[in-house]
Amino acid sequence: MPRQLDAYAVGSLVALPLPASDLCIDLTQTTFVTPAGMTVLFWIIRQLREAGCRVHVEIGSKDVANYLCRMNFHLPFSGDVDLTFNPDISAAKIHKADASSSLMEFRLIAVNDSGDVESAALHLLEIVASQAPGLIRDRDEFFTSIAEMVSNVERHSGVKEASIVAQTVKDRVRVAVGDNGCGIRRSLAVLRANQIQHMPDHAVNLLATEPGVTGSPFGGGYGLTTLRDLVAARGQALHIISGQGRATILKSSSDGSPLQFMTLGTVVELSLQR
Amino acid sequence: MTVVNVSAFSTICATRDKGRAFYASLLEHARAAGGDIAVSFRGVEFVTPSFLHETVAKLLAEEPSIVHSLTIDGLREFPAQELAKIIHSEDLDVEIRQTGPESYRMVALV
Repeated sequence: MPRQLDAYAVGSLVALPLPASDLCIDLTQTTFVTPAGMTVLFWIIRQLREAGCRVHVEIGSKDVANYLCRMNFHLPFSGDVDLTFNPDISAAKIHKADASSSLMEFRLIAVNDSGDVESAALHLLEIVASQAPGLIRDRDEFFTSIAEMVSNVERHSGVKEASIVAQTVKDRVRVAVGDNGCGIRRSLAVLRANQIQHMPDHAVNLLATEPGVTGSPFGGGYGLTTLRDLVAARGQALHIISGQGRATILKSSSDGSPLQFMTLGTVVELSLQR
Repeated sequence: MTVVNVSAFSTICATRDKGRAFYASLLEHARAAGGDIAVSFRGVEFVTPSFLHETVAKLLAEEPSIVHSLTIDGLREFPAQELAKIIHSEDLDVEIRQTGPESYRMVALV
């Protein structure tokens, strides 16, 4: 299991079958979770629960437990008795005792239209600007980044829900937007099936950052390009996680048939340095 | 000069859908202007490259003769830079030149 659950390690996150078709997500060796890692963890649990699996998350590090606790990671699963954490991250003593001044924000949002996209970007801008003053170098850049990330979910994923995670680490803010949708390959295949059919997922994800690739002429395709150029200009980081082999988990079927693969939609994590 | 105030449409201009919704009005104003036309972003809190793509860049593509009479006002540095990139990526043979603080005019390259 990964020590740092981040964009590079999410592919190794595997849910192991336990007796009675329960699944255990093993985070006993994990000591740090990035927004991308947390996003993947959330959607994996969501997928498993929607598939009817009972899920147990075993956490080894107190820091990780505190982190998930302060993020209110458990809230979207409130009342779900078939999802358990050890230690219990909803416990108040963990939640408040070790709170530091750093920003941590996690929420699940509806993404139905332009209003939702704009609300999400404005909300995150206000949160970061108020709780981590000085970290936003340019409000226009920040707003555009978040709006483009959320807009991609609304336009391309085929689903109407997204997760947003924001975290400050020293002089940078990391934001991850994730969904449980069709993924970049399937979205691109509508216009570029022949071009991408033999390309590996990482190459498809890279292709999606080229201007105009994800849209017809004047149909779009600049969202990821904007993020890519921003990162190139500022020396920051952009992680795009989408496709089979990344964030892939093994699911035990209830009828005892062989394990099958499940895949996540897309996670985009942007790291912005002051 | 005809001035089109984007803020009258919306003060948050973040998505392509909003851009498309605004474009019809922009095109109507541009065709009716018969002369110089200024697109003013004063009072707009945020405008994204996607919105600019669906409005200003699209207008330049569909009505190339408007290049010489189109100015943009109240557009901050980042969105202006992104608009220049989009115009370049779409091979519009147009350059955006700054004429003052947050003010720009279009120059045909051919």
